[in-house]
Amino acid sequence: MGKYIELMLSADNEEQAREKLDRICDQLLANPVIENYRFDLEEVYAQMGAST
Amino acid sequence: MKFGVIVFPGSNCDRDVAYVTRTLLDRPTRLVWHEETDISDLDVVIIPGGFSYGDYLRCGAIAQFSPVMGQVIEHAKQGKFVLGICNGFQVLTEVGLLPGALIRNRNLHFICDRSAVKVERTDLPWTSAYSPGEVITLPIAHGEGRYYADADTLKALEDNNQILFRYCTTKGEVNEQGNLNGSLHNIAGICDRSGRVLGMMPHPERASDPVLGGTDGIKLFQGLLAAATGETLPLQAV
Repeated sequence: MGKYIELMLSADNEEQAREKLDRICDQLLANPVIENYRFDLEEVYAQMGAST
Repeated sequence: MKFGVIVFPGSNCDRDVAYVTRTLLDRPTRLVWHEETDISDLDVVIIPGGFSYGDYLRCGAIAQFSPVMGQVIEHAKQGKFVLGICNGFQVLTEVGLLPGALIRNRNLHFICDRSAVKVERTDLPWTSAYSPGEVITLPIAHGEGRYYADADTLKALEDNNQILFRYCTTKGEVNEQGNLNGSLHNIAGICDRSGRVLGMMPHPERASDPVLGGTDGIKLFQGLLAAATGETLPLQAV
């Protein structure tokens, strides 16, 4: 059994993004009692809609 | 003794539980919406069965972020009673009030049935109305009810006598044959170290009104009431 989840998140740098993802996985997306997780990080540049 | 039954979007046994405590036990009971943050008036919090927030990610996973659960944890820390039934048990493991986890049944199917359940200890309020080793019959209805915990946790549960209920055969044999969902150590219900927080997959509230064909479950509520408050059992013998 497994799950594949794609999500977008914003972070200042890769290290911060990894910390964030670990926290999200540990607290919500996976239950460490019964599940393992791994993630791949891909950098994308998204227009955040800030006004000029 | 005042009861509160937590209602998440997707809970579906909330009214059944409230019917037992309010109508059969004749005790003040209120339904507690998941957004509430003041439950200080309650003596017993019951988290009912169902599918909290849809349970799409993992059973009980989202409930930990609900406003009311922070209060339930506080309630438990104060040594007050918390009962999680079915989805409620899953929620209690997800928020960390009880150890382990409930995973997909061994046969991968949702099981809606009745199971013989052995009452392992009767020195706690929850089980005080049963006799030691008593074999009772309770309805079960779950897809993810197979109790799992690592070896150390299981040993701690056994050493501290935290296992209150085990699945068994109708003769009371605790073995694989009597283990409907494949739970480790046939675990059907456990409590925390204090004995105040109980989680169980079988549904005692569905075996409380005689019209439903069984009354083995109401003793759980009656026992709690009698042991914790000294109040006499309000339900007439049936």
